[in-house]
Amino acid sequence: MKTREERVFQAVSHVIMIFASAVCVIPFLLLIISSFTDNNTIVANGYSFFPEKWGLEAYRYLLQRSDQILRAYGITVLVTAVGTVGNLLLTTMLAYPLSRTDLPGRKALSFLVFFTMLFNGGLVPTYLLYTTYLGVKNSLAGLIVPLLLLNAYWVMIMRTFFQNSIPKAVIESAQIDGASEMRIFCQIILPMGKPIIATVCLFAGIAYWNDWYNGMIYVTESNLFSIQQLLNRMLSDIQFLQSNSSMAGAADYISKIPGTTVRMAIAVVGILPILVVYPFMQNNFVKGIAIGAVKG
Amino acid sequence: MRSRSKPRKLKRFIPLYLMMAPSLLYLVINNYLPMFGLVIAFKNVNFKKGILGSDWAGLENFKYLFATQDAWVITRNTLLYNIAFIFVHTFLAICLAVILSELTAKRSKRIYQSVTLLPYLISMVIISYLVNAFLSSDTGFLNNSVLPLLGMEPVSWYTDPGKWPAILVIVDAWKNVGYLSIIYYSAVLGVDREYLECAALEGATKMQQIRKIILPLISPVITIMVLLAIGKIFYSDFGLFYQVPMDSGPLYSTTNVISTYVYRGLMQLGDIGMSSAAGLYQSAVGFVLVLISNLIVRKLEPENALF
Amino acid sequence: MKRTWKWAGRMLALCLAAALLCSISACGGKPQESGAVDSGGSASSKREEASASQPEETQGGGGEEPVELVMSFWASTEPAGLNQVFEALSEYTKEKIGVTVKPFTVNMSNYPQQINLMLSSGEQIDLMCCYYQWFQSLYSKGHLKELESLVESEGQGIVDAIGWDFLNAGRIGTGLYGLTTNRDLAKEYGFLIDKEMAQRNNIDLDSLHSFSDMEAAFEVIKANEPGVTPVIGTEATYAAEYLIPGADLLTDGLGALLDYGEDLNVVNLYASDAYMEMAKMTRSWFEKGYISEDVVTSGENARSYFKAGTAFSALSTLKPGYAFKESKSIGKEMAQVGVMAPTTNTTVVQSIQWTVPENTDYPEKAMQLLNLMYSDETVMNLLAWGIEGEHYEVLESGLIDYPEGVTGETSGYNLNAGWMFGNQFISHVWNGDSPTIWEETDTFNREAKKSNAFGFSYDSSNVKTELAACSNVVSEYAVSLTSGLVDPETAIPEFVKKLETAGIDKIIAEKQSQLDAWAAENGKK
Repeated sequence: MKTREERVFQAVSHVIMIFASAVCVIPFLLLIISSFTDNNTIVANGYSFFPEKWGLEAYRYLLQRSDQILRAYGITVLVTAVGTVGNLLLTTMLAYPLSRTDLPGRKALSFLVFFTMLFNGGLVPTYLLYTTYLGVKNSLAGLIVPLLLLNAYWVMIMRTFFQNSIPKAVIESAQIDGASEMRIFCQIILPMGKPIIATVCLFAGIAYWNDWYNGMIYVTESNLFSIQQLLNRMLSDIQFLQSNSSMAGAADYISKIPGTTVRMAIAVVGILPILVVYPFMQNNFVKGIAIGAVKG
Repeated sequence: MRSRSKPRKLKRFIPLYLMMAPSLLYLVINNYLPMFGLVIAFKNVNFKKGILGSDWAGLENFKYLFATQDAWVITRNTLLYNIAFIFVHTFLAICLAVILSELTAKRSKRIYQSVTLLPYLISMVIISYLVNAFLSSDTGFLNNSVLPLLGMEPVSWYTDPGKWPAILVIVDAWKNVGYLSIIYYSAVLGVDREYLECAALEGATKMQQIRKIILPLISPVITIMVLLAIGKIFYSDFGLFYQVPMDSGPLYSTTNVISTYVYRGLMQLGDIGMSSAAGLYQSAVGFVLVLISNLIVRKLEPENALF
Repeated sequence: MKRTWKWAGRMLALCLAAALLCSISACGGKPQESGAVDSGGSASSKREEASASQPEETQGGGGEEPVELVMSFWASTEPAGLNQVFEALSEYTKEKIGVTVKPFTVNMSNYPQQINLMLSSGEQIDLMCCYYQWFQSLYSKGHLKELESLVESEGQGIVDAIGWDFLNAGRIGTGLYGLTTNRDLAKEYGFLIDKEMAQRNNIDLDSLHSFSDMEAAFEVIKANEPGVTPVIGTEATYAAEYLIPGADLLTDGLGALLDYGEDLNVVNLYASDAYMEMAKMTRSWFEKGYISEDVVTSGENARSYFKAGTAFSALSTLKPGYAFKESKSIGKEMAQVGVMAPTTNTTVVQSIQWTVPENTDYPEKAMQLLNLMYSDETVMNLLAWGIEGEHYEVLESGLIDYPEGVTGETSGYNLNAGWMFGNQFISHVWNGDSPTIWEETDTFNREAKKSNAFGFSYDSSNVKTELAACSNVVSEYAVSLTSGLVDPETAIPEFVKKLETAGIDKIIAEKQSQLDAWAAENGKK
């Protein structure tokens, strides 16, 4: 039973979205195409969607280090899985009580949470605490725990979401029925909060996947490198090798590194797994939201 | 302990406090314990004496932030860009979210959503090369293909500061809008469909539904996002302002922000007192601004305030 | 409401108390000891607090057990055989000086940050390699040990290898904080040239000796070779010292000496005639199309352009054998053309130095190990090239090469960083390099024209504010000026005015007064 107006709205929406998608995809295509371009062609002619000469040197170079890359993928998958679950738990368990307007001390606690978004002690004290007292250096905990496990930003957003889209009446009637707080949390809040929980899950996942900072600070042993740390390191190493003179024996293999295209290939290697996994996640994401909506 | 009169009432909340305990403990460890480091901003740190034992520097460490005639330029740039970002982000992300949520075609909806998230996944360093692919003066697409097509003269992009406010706002929106729209999208999904159906039955047009129902209902989320952005108003995405303009000197008048200024100033010195002073300054200003805006919000819509 | 505030207040107080405790025991743990040479005693009790389970504390007992030293340096990719090499090294040093050595490597770009963190939190590092921008900052944070008396008691081999002449460049103020490695300790600024392209255009390489000779060559290239940029520079090489002969930048270029510092008069380089002249020259190159606008902002390096065949020459720092090595890296025959006499100054020498952290428990042992790195061929060859028979083999000519079946990619120890460890001149020469490369380099070092302020470097702690402000101004203008991107007639006055507001005069005055004191002490002037 679509009205004319509805049809126009749908059509215009598609036009806008197709345009937006094109804007997002075209530079990304350029990224992929340049990773398959011959290095000298790029240096001489610049980046192009239709390169004169294609090349696989970039991937060949990365393939030489495939052992390390696969290992780093493994580490990152593990860290992302554990970290995301932990992050979701901590965020939800803090956001929900803060969303309860009847909770004594709510404002003070919200303030304390918000305060951490703005002020921090800086790297040196944080490092000192985490390495000297908590011993996270060169451990998986070093990749998971510092900074990423709970982000005040998401707590505040999730809190607002709970407050906004879960009617107080629902909670109150459950309380009258004698449901415990834990039960209310598990059986009402979690299902109804699915859209925001799925969102935070996605973002926490991306944050863990893309993180190289914790690795750079807390991990110096190469068998614990996460994928982004490894890729970052490869990038800066290539730059270093290429811009510094060295001895005759090494010169020969430096000359074979395709400096420009390998940068692009490294970016592709870092993003690819997300692209593969995202559609599946999105499926769940949409399902979760549908359930949430029904209950509401 | 004054409120002895309502221990029963408090008891009811114990499970909620317990629920929060692990998260609060984490914040204490990850955020509050290291905060003693804030004193570094006022110290002349010498590790022979330890952090706390180092000599006090007073406000000496803050001075360099105001020591050039560019001090106001970087402050202005930081503020203006952030204000522009807040507007552009909020507007575009909400548009995208609303359109996506109202689209009926399931599959294309999912494709649009994945594709608009793509740019967020690309790191700024790589983005800076992609931007270079468009702007480079000899080989860039704009100078070689687009501008001649429009009959325009080639532009020397990396030496013309006037063009950069627009470029940076576009690049930033390109990277972040898809990501931010997901938050608004989930907020729109939280809106009860019944309201919309009722409104439709009563003959409200799509635009009316959006304006009269969806926007007011997601306004708490909008408010909170804007408030949080205000807190970070003296910070900037370093990569966007340093790498994307390729650190080109002639562009500084429109690309230099507090974060890049601090980075360039301390690259050689590596002074941790001065860098924490910068961080403290940035945070303190954001903090004051948030307090003020929060006060205003609390007056207008107390439910939506941060705290 | 009140009650929660109280609760929050109490929590904060608790945090603060805990934080104080942490920091006091961790970094305030060391009372203000003099920082001079201090054997065992107080230092190792400090380590006991920090990490009680370390076995090394037996050192106090009588030194029978070998001491484990942590030696830190940067390595782009950690070589697979690193531990193997250091085990071999430890075997040897255990016999010699009762020391085993554990390597600690981070890649170049993370090195300063990682080491800073480790030093700040008291992790063990006993000797470390350090590069110059960072040397000053380590010093000002109090991380470096003064080395003079240690060198005198344990480091005779170092003095013999390098001589006080060059070692003195490791001083800040009057204290000695760094020991330069023995490598190329001078610089010859000039151009790297695509030889084949020069010949194709009948450019006689032997006739190129100055900027104006080069300019003539650029003109030919510009006319004959479409699509080729006559001269390439990068952000690093569009620097004043590449283009102004005899400029001694005194660490940071903010206040510099001209004409090899004949008069020891610190001036504002950017306001000098020499700088204006240089900027006009590069501006004319830019206007004639010899310099490409894109080069600085493209993120590519000179080698990529040479490989792609789109560059004729590149501004470079030359040293003996430079073009030969570059030919291999680029895969084309290259030539080098110097346009200034080789020179040297403190900054050049300070670029790679070994330092001993204030934190170490074993300063003497660290110095003894350093001593071996400068005087013992076995140690030096292990560090530079790895294990004989495994990572390299000695050819009949006395030069070395990869063993059968090993290449640069597959070798377990491909650091190729002899310049980083001690005395490069006592290490083997790689096949393909000139067999007399070390003698040539040594001569190059000794014959280089030294700045009159050679050995002086200033302590910037009084002018930090001004330095930070001026560094920003410099990064805004300097590269655009040296690469001809902007018109010097208008940009330089602007530049100089901004520097003055940012306080360059205070830096110049500070440098001048420290330089005068140094000159008086060293009988200069």
